[in-house]
Amino acid sequence: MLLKELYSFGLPVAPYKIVKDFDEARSVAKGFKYPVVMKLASDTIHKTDVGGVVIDIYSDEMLKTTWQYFKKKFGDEPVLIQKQIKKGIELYIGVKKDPSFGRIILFGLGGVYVEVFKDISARICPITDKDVDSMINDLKAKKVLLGYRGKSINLNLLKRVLVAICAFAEKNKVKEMDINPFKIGPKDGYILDARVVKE
Amino acid sequence: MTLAKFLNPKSIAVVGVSNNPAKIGAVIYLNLIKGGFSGDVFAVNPNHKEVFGNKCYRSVGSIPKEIDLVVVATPAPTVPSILKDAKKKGVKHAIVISGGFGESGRTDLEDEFKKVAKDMHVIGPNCLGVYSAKSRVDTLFFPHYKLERPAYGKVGIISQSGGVGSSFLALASRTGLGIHSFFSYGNAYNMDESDIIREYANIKDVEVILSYVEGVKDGKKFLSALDYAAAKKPIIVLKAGKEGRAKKAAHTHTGALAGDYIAYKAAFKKAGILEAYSLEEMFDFAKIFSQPLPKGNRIGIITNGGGFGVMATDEAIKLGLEVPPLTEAEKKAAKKRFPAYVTPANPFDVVADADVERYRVALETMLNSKSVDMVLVNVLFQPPAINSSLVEELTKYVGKKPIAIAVPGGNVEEGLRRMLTISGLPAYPYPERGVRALHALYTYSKMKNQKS
Repeated sequence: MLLKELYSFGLPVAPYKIVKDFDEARSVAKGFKYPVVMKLASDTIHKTDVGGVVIDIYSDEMLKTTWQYFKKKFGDEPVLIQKQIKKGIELYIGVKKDPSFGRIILFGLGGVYVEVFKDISARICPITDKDVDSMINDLKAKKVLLGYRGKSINLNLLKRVLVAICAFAEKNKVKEMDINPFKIGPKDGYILDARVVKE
Repeated sequence: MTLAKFLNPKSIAVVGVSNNPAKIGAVIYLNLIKGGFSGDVFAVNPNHKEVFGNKCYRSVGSIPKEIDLVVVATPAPTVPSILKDAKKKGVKHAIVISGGFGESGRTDLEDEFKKVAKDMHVIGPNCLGVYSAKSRVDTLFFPHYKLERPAYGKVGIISQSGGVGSSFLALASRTGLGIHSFFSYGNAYNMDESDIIREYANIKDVEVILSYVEGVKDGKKFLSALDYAAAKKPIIVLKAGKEGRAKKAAHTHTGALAGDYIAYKAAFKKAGILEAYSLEEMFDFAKIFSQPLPKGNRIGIITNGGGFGVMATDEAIKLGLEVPPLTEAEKKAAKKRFPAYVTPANPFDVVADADVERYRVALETMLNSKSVDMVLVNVLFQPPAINSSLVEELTKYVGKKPIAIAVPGGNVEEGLRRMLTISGLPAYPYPERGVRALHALYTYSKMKNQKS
């Protein structure tokens, strides 16, 4: 599973566990403390598009309902429980292998910023910390990243993650990859979901 | 230096010259013999004994002298054997103007071409070829009366498209921008943009490189050439073909978001290249590199029309430049040298009755100010107090800080702009364009610092 590979590579991934049955789901959720997220454990499906992500599960009862929904809708598809990360800004990070230039890394604010405004910055892999600085500077949303109204993000962590994702993509022969979202706050940052197509 | 033989050959053979001055081969031959090229020029065409009163040779091989460069303007199927013949004679450099290869479905001719050209240096096919403003090597098949050739200067131009390239040259001569040389490389079967960029990097007289590209075949080679050249001099790229290439149905967001262009953009950023978004902008940026690099992002604005000062300020702030106030001491010192109704400030409105002297003092104030890194001077030449002697006066200040001049207006002003640009002060028809060019210069200096 991609999340596991990313974690093993040293990248911060939000705690999660693939669960076999409802009892395991309940004990995992208890360990993480509510609220938790339930989603399909897949590297390729666009989970939100098929209804394969449910967030804000606050109790055993809600967990049960969600479990039944997953079983009914997706049958035996593997399911995971993930700790719900509440605070932070959602970023989108992507890697694509361009036929002429090799791998490029892209990043920007997640959600509507990527999909509607296409406010993304790109560089050829590998990149350095300095490249990340100038990538941030390219974005229209740079003020959001650099801090406003007292909100800020851990820029050093962001740099470390972007540089490492380039390295991960090179090592694992990634053709296309989405890290979406990477949720980052003033201290911590976590990869919540990722999809990949390898060569 | 592969380009040396293209830029300064001692002898050129033009293959495909007839007596019809409307034919491509003839135009090129006449450009060379009448356009100021001082080397030997030989016409080649097996069907003629004489063209335009000069001897015409049967083949390149039958020319009794050494040939540095062969220019071919004959139908595509004849090209491989002409190159073979030239190679046999020992010619290493050729320009093939003719089209009709892979781009017309004749991949067999393309393969043959590539095979013959392998151990030669060949520009083309399907291109305009080369123009050198100094040696007057000129393989552009546009007669001089239709396309004015620009004067000699410091800018090297590389164009994938011939048509866009020739418009470059027309625009350059119209605006007074001097050109070192021009390469239109067409199908790039043998030499491509990367080869030329790399060589331009090593030509001292080329101080700025302009490159128009639609698509490159070898991205890694292109990136490495850009990287190499950008460490030595500014490169401005205009990338066309930006839209509509992203995959519609992709597996990931990234696949859908990232068309070809985003990879180019990433490459330009990595190498430290300035990107222009139109031909006009490319020239606006090219001109500003006659100026020294700014130390920061603070712009001083001088104008004799208040409205232009306001527009220039808007543009500067929009781009992220600062328009700092003058210090009290600077204002006080300047105030003494102006009538009571002129208030030194930034933007500095020297008022509609300003004469040359007022501009001089205002410009000195900005150039000496510790809070100003670059200056935009807007001059409305319509009021009676100002006259064209300002052009000469302003050029005395070239070199201390970057200066862009805006001269809004019509026909009269176009001539003044050209004079200013030729004298080393880049002139623009609108203050916003001057501000954008200064911003590009600042962006370049920032990229350069970041790289080193």
